[in-house]
Formats: sequence, C-alpha cells, structure tokens
Amino acid sequence: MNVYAQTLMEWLKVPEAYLVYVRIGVFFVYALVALTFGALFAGVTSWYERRVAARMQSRIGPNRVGPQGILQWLCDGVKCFLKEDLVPKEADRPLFRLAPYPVFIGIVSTFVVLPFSATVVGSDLNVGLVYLIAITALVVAGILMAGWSSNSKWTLLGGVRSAAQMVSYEIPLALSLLVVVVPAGTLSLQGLIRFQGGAPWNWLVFQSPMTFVAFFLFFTSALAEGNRTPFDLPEAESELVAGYNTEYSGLRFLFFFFAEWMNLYVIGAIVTAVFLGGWRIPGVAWQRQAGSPLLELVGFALYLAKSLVVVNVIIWLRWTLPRLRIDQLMKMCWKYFVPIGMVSIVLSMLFTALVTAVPLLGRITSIGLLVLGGLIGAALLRRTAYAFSSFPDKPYFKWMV
Amino acid sequence: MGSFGKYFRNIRNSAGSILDGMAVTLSWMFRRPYTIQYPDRIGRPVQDLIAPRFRGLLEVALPLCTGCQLCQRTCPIEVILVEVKKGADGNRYLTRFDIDVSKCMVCGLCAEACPTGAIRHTREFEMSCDDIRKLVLHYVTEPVLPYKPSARIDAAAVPPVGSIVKRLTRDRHAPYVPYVPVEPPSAEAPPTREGKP
Repeated sequence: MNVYAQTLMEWLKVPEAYLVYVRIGVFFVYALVALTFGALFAGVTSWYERRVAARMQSRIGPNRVGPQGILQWLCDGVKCFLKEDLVPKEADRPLFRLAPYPVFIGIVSTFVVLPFSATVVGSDLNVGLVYLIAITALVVAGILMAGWSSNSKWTLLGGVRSAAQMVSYEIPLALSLLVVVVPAGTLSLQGLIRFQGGAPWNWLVFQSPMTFVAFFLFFTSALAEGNRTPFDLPEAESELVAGYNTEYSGLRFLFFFFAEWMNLYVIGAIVTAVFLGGWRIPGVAWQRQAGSPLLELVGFALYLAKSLVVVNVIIWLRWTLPRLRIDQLMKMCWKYFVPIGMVSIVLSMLFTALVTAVPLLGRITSIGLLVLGGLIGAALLRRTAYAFSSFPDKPYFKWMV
Repeated sequence: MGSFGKYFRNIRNSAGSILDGMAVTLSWMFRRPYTIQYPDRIGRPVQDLIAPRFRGLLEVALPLCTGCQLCQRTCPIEVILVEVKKGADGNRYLTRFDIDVSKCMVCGLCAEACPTGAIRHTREFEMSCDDIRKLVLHYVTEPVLPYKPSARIDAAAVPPVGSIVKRLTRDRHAPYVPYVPVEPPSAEAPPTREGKP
C-alpha cells in the first residue's frame, strides 16, 4: 500500500513531512475495504455453505430471504445482534467477554499480508509466511480462553482439544510451507506469487513432487488449524454441544462464527497464493500486471476464482467426511504429516539443487505432475459417474430451487 | 508386507476412500432434492400428495349415520359425542354429533366400528387455530333423521370424503362462535330427511 501512499502524496502535493499520516490514512482505508470484503465473504459463505450442504443431503436449504435466500445471513446477523449478551454466573467474567476478540483478530490480521492483486496488498512483509503462522496462533489463545472462562465441561473439553489440535498441526503447516520456500527462496507472499507463473505448469504445486505432496499437507493442516470438519473436534456438535462457544450468545457468538467463515477465505487465499499461482495471469509478466489497473483487476478476478474453488472444496469436504477421533487426529499429525513434511523438505532441497543443474528436468516434472493432477481429477469424475449411476434418478441440473 | 509397506498402504487407502466419499457427495449435487416446500410452493394441494388411506381429521357423512353410537362407545378417550333424541312426531332424531379434534389421537377405531362407513378419516390435517374450543367440530346443525339400513340411498347424496370437514374448518381463524344445541323438531315443523331425494 506504500506505493499508493506515495502516489497520493505526489498527486495532492503534500509535503514529505506528512508521509506517515498519509500512509496511516491509506492503510486505514485499505483495512476498511479488506474487512468489508472479509465480512461480506463470511456472510455470503454462511448462506452458500448451507445451500450446498442441503443439496448434498437431498434438501433445498435456505431459499426464502431474498432471491434464492441470498440475504439469509443478514437475517441471522440481525438476530444475533438483538439477542442478549449472556455471561454465565460462574464464568470468569472479563476473560469470557474478551475471548472472541483474539479469535477474530487472529483471522482478520492475516489480511495484512494476503494480497488481492499485484500491488493491492496491506504490506508485503518479507517474513509473510512466518507472520501468517504466528498471527493465526492467536486463535488458539482465544479459543482456549473461551473454553476455560465459560466454566463448563463442554467448553473446557472443546478448548483443550482445540489447543492440542492446533498446536500439533502448526508443525506440519509450517513444514509444508517450508517445502515451498526452498525452491522459491522467499517468505513473502507476493514474492512467492511472482516466483510462480500464470500457467498451471508454472504453479508451485506442480513445481516438484515434494511441493505436490506439500500442497495436500498444507491444505489438510490448514483445515485442522481452522477447526473445519473433519477436524472440528473443538466444536463437535454431537459430543460437546457446540464446544468452546457453547455458553456464548448474541454478538460474541457471532464473532466466533464470523471468524470461522472468514477463515475459509483465508485458507483459500493462502493456498492460492502459495501453491496455485495467486494473481498471475498466464502469459503476462508480473511487472506489466503491476502497472495496469485493468490487468490488476483481471488478476484479482483470477485470484478470487481460484480461492473460491478451494473454498468450495473445503465445503465439499465438510459434508463428506466424518469427524476424526482425537487419537486418530494426533496419529495423523505425528505419524504421517510431520515425517512426510520433514522428508519433503530434505528432498525438496536436493531436487532444487538438481533442477538448477538440469533445468529440463524441472519442466518435465511439472508437466508430469500436471498430468497426475488431471488423472486424480479424472478418477474423481469417474467415481462420481459411478456413484450417480448407482441411483435410479434422472440427472437434475437445476440449482435454483 | 512389512510395517513400512503398511504405512504407505494406509496413506493410499485413506486418499482413495476420501476420493470415493467426495464422489458420492458430488453425485448428489446432480439429483433432485426431495424436499416438498409446504405450504406455499408445492404446485398442487398438499392433500393430493398424501397417501389415500392417510388418517387425518375425522368427518361424519350424516346421510349415512344410523345414530347407533358405536363410534362413541368404541372411542377409548371419549372424543366423540352422539346424541339421539325423540321428537314430538315419535321419530328419533340425531341432535348432536361432536368430534373433539384436540383430543383425537387418530387411532381409527371409530371408523372401523362404524357399520355404514359414515364416520371416516379424511386427508385433511390443517386444523391449527387460536382457540381450543374451535377444535370441537359440530357436525349436526339441524335435527336429522338417522339412516335406515333398509332404505335405499342415492350415492350422489353422500358428500365426497373431505368435503364436509373442509367446510367446517374453513373459518377456523374467525372468532369463536358458541355452539347452539339442536333440539328435535316440535309437531308443527315437519322434519326434513337429509339424503332423501
């Protein structure tokens, strides 16, 4: 955003001494825009997820408020606003009231480094990935606070589970990001995007077999970090009522859910930026993209589209997979993800050295991995066709019911 | 196969089963949802969607009622109240046939006991209202001569199933009107025989 502050100063002919204030103002505006974007995304996604879930369960879902029920989230929000902000009698009052904010801040702060397009980014930190991992750790603190201060069995169990889960999964999360950092040689998100190309075979997923594995590793760990199904043990509805947020109501309850749905976009955006080429347009150099507003807009649309695909997959997974047991969760992390991540880092280093010596190998690997990804997609489609044919129903492509 | 092979087999199996599960949920995106959007977006009356032998609200076809009171005696929870009184002309008259919908558990015993099929279940079920007294359905509004099994009756005189209860429950949101007891006719007023041509 510093570029825009500079441009604004030259345009308004502000003396150099006021640079700090202009920068603060520009950042403030950017923060408002980013927050609004996140809030709108979270709201609409809450409705969209319910519609998708309904169709997967042969229902229709909310379709009454506004066209196709698209304003349902506003109604839910207003309802939560009007509800009483209850604090249980035996609860630790200040902690209970404070707890939603770390969760919310932890998710919202990621918008500082998450880019929207080539130049529209809060701050292109050179330690962007480290910042991301560090700031999302605030969520654990908030959830643990909520779980402890509510003074209820359910919330405490939820909070403790969440702490165990999130602390464990931060390790494979960081490891899988390191696998990508090795070939790219940068921790900045914009740097990672610039390192990649627009075309799929230039994306970091298909850069090497190790990054391909790291993609799935990161995606799964991010789900576990964000308490999404199948890793939603902290709020397991069938076991813990609602987990850490059981005792909450009204606006504070809303904050938790707000953060959860905004986290969907955050996961999608990080995956897109790190693995799926971010805002890069195929065949356009990033320097050109940074210069023209039109290309920036196209880049943003591409970025959003890719993120939405990832968000869709997350929603899809949520309504497919059953919840893991806590021991299975830990086993998966410590016996599978961490060793695989560590081996991947070592192999990634070796591979990077090898590719530097033989550039042709890198190109062949990328194409091969792209074909492998296509094969996985084809297998999925084949199985879908099989699952579909096993049911005596006519195809029904009308989604606006 | 050692433990090393088992390790990788586990990974492969879990990936494959996740893919399988995702294929199943995806296939449901292309199937028709089974939800019926009752009450306002179904296209045709909801009564037509219900099974033909659905046990809904009870109704009485008075042209068929013999006044035997079998239904009243069969009912385990005293939902039905039938009164037969003698008129001045010496005939027995049906003066009351009440069904308390608020108590009825739709067991269907009365409909089975009825020798002529006068009391029967309908496919109507929409009976929500703001006053429990409105849930007592009064079928007799004027004294009626009971049906005699020996008499011939025109099939057209028996109202179709559901039409009577539909008429009775139509004004269920209107204010409550107390029921006026029906008395058998005195000698001056000649009785009418409902259902006779």
